[in-house]
Amino acid sequence: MPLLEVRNLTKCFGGLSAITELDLDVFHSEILGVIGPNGAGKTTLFNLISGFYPPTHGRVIFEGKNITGLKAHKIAQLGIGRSFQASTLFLKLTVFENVFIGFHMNYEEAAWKSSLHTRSARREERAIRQKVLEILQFMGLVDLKDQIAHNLPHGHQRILGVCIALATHPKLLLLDEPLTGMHPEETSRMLDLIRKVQGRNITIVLVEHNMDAVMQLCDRIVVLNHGRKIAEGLPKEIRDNQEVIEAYLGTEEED
Amino acid sequence: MTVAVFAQLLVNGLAIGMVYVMVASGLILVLGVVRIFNFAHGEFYMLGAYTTFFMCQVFHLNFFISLAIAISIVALLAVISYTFVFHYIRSDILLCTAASIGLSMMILRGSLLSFGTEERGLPSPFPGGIKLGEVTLPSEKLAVILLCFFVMSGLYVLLMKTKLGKAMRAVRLDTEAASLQGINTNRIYLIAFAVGCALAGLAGGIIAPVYSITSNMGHALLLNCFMALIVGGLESMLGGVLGGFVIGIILSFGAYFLGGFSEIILFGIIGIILVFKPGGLFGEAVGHE
Amino acid sequence: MSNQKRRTKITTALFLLGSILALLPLIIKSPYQIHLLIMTGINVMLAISFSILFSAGLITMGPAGFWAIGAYSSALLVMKAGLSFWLSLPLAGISAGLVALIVGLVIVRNPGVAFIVQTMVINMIIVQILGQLEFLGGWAGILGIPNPNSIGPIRFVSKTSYYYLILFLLLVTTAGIYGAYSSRVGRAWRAIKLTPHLAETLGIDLYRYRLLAFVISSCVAGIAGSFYAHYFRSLEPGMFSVFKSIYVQIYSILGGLNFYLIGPVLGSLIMTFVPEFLRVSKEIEPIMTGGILIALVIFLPGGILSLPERLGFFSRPLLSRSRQTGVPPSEQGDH
Repeated sequence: MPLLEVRNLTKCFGGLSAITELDLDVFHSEILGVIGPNGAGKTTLFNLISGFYPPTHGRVIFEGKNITGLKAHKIAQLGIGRSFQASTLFLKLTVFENVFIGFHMNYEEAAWKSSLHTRSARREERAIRQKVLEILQFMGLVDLKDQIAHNLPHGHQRILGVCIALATHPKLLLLDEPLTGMHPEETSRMLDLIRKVQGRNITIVLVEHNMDAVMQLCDRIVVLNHGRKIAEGLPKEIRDNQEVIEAYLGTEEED
Repeated sequence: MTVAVFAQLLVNGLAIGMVYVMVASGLILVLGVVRIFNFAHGEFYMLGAYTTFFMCQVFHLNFFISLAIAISIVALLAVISYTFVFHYIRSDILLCTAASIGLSMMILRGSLLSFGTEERGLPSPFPGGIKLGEVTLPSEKLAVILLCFFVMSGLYVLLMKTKLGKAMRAVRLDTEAASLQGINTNRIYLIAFAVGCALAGLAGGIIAPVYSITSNMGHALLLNCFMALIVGGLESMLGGVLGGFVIGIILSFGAYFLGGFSEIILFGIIGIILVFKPGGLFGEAVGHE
Repeated sequence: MSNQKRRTKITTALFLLGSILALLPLIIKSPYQIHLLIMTGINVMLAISFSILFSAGLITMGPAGFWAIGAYSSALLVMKAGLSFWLSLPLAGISAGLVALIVGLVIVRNPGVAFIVQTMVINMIIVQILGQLEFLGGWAGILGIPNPNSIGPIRFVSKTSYYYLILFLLLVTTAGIYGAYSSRVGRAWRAIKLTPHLAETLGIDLYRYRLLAFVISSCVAGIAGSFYAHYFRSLEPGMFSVFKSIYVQIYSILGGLNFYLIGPVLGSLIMTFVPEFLRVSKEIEPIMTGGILIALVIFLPGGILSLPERLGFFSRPLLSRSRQTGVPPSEQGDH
């Protein structure tokens, strides 16, 4: 059974259809790439899956459960994590604090115990502190843990975004253009990190413009254009797919 | 209820309504363009009334000349306030609220000290009434309605037809886009603030001969003005106009039928409106994430 | 300075502060000044009420409304239902919280300017209702509210006993709210304030947490109201207007909006005592206070507590990061 199933998904804003009758499967432990020219509906797809707005038609099914129309925080609680296009972080907080807050869902003790600072609550906080450091270590940011997020270079901010998402212990991780604005070393570092994340048994869906990266990294690729799926398959199939090439060339000519 | 009484209530309601409309429009202008809640707005209204009073009574000037002087003084004070205070803190709504309270404290106390605590009355430049059939409508209230209508039309022309007005509307919609278009946003903020306060001052001057003038008149009016804003929607001028009328009519008719309860009804209606349309009747739901 | 040393310093400072506060009435003989301290205490609670919501990203213009609900509830429970003050105090907080819950269910959906305006309207409605209902005393209000029942030898006749009571209430409130701020709840509020979208993806239910902040904030205001009613012994609706709500905001702003507990304390102290220390006649005083307020807002937008940083006094910020953000420090060691 696929981890995530998208059936007949449609989203209209006003009179415009951002996504039309989209069918999609995401399988366990894969890295699925979603590509397409600008405006193809990729971020809309993410917003629909992660619950920021409900679809106009269609369903989203996660681990066999219908999650269509659930609110964003509920969907996060079910195990879908996400990073954003822009550096959506807690910019005024440090790296450490950012990831710490990410553990919000993963407390055992009740919240009121946390307020009273009972011994078990404090013990748990120490445990979480350890886990935060582990994640930072894993993603290579541990030396920067006390830096204010705002001051980090762009590449590190994107990595931090992924760290925060990891703190939620997701089963499915949606990465929205993680490579945008990165130079080559940052890019290859991010690719390594994404592979490492996959190694932790986390399924990843990736929206990206960087074609090389997508071809290298993804197990399968889905191509969207004008809100519809126009191709799906292995990277080498997509690379040679005529429709895909035209879709991209089409937008190039418009420039 | 006889026709005469109805007509009186209507005229009364319209007159009050027009005053609210003017003051509320000033408030919305400032809120929409400069994006600050000016809690000293009522004080500008009060100053307009007092200045008009003084020009008429003490210097024996013509009513309209007094009005003109009142507007100028109020506008000048607004310009000073903006340049030295709000200009620096414009981006933070809380700081502006606090500063406007400080300003309100200063103006109110200054007024109390200068003008004393007694109520003042200005003899009306439009005495008597106009007969329509069996009904006599008080001229002074008709004058208020007419004058306010005149001013509001002028405001409409300013906002819709002039370059300045278009600039103000552009800034209101999108400050960044406006400055990219070459509009000097700082000057627009200043002008919008001055015009908004001047509207309040003018309203005060127009109403000066009709109701008594006290130092507190601004305060009480202000809260009801926020009501008008809320009914109409914080984003829309038309909304503010409608809001003002609604307030005026409800207060006028309400006072006749229900006495004090008219205000509870008012607030109740507003509460209900807000439940369904948090942005007011004409606003979009403000406050998205 | 290591965390351990810092912790000892802070504990000592708090202990000293506590002792001074406890002994203050013995030093200050003037009942008027004790009265000022008590007023400051009440204002601190109201400012804390504002700050709780602010820490969750909501600006309210209506804390005075819930203050009113607490005050009137307490007065009525004692005068009409014959309850003891010690029962009516918590009940006042609860009733304010209940009203906040009902109202909040609706208005907390719309954060931002809509919320500000709605809280303003609610405040106005509350004042109007209190003024119109005759059995609540109408616009003249309630007079002759009894003082709190004596507990043991402590009789609430002189101001001193009231002083200790408000001090106690403040202590409990501050401890409780501090606990909340440095816990999972406080961290969630901060997350909601900083970047709501991100908070959602972390499983934080924005609506629930905002509602919680609203209810807790109103409870605090309600409790302050109960104390106020039995200290002042008379209430009238005009005391609880929107203008008072804005004054409450000012207490927090002057102290420093980013300091959710100390800020209200300092800000209230400033607004209560500065007019006293201005050696000008009572008549000119509001002009000076207004002027100082404006000056402070322009030159110290971060509040008084931003002053040390501004002047470069400390290389470390005034409060350790963990106290400010509610997140434990990243180093091994104590808070």
